[in-house]
Amino acid sequence: MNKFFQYALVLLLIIGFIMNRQQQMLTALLKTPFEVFELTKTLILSLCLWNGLLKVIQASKMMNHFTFLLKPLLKLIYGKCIEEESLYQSLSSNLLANLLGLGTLATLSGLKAIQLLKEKGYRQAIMLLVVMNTAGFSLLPTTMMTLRQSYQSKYLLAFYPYSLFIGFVISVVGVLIIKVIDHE
Amino acid sequence: MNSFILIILLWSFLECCYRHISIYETFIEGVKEGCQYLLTLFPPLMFLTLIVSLFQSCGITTLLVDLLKNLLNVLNIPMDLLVMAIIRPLSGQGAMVLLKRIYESYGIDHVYSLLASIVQTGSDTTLYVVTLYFGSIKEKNYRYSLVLGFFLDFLAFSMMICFYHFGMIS
Repeated sequence: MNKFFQYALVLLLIIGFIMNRQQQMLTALLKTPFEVFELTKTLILSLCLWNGLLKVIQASKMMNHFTFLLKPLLKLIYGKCIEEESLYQSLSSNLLANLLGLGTLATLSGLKAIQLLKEKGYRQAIMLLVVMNTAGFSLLPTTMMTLRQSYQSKYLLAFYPYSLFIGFVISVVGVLIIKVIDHE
Repeated sequence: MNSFILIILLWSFLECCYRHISIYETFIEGVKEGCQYLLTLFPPLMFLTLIVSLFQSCGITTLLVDLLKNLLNVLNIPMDLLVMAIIRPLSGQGAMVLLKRIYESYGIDHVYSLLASIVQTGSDTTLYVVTLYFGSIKEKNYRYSLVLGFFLDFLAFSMMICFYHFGMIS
């Protein structure tokens, strides 16, 4: 992957020279630290807050009330690693947060889960976790709803059935592909 | 939605009170843990932003636009939508700029705006998620996660185009 990014950087610079976009590239380069600062500032501060709240949610064992619903689904996706309590807590938080459209909480619990999965050597589950989070399947796409409402859409949820179906299908396809490639 | 988050928090706080767990100490511990993400996540995010900035500024999208003009005639969608579908897996902000441009050009309730909304919600920023997750565990070998992620983004876009061409989206 390092090589891919290395070649990509070289290729993009060469294309920029060919397209005579040196000034635009230099401007973009100089703006990068400020963009990263804004991105990181929002992300890290949100992560700090949500990590605090997530720790409280986990300590309260409130999620255990949803076990009957979540555990069979998680076992279907992630397999036997769910039997470990710490992994179950993080993966269930991640799944629930993704379904509810809580982006920062999903990222946070996902980061916790991937660290635990790496420590315990669950390679297939790492891939499943990453793909489940790239698929973007959500039952409550509040960001899009809020945006469409700000533009005064008469059909606020017109996109919803399609994005729900597509998100579900690509999640299932992604999981199946990983289970075939990384058969355990 | 806001109520739902607050309900979860209220429920958790009540459970903590019932179990005699200190909310303050647990919360502080969590915030301290969260601060550690700064050092772990900042370097990969800097590299990712560099790549995306160069991608957006080097003119490759102009080249793609010229190459894809014929494809546009077949798909019968505007250029902004096609570029948005290409950029979506790479940059959430870039895709959002194009989304708003489509909303403003065609009106929020136009079919193209609907298609753009589906592109935005049908998948996520693959490059960002993969880099963030693997970067947090200092894993340089992403294996096939990026390829699979891009394939799923392509699949999502293809499904949307099929729904559009079969008259299921109008």
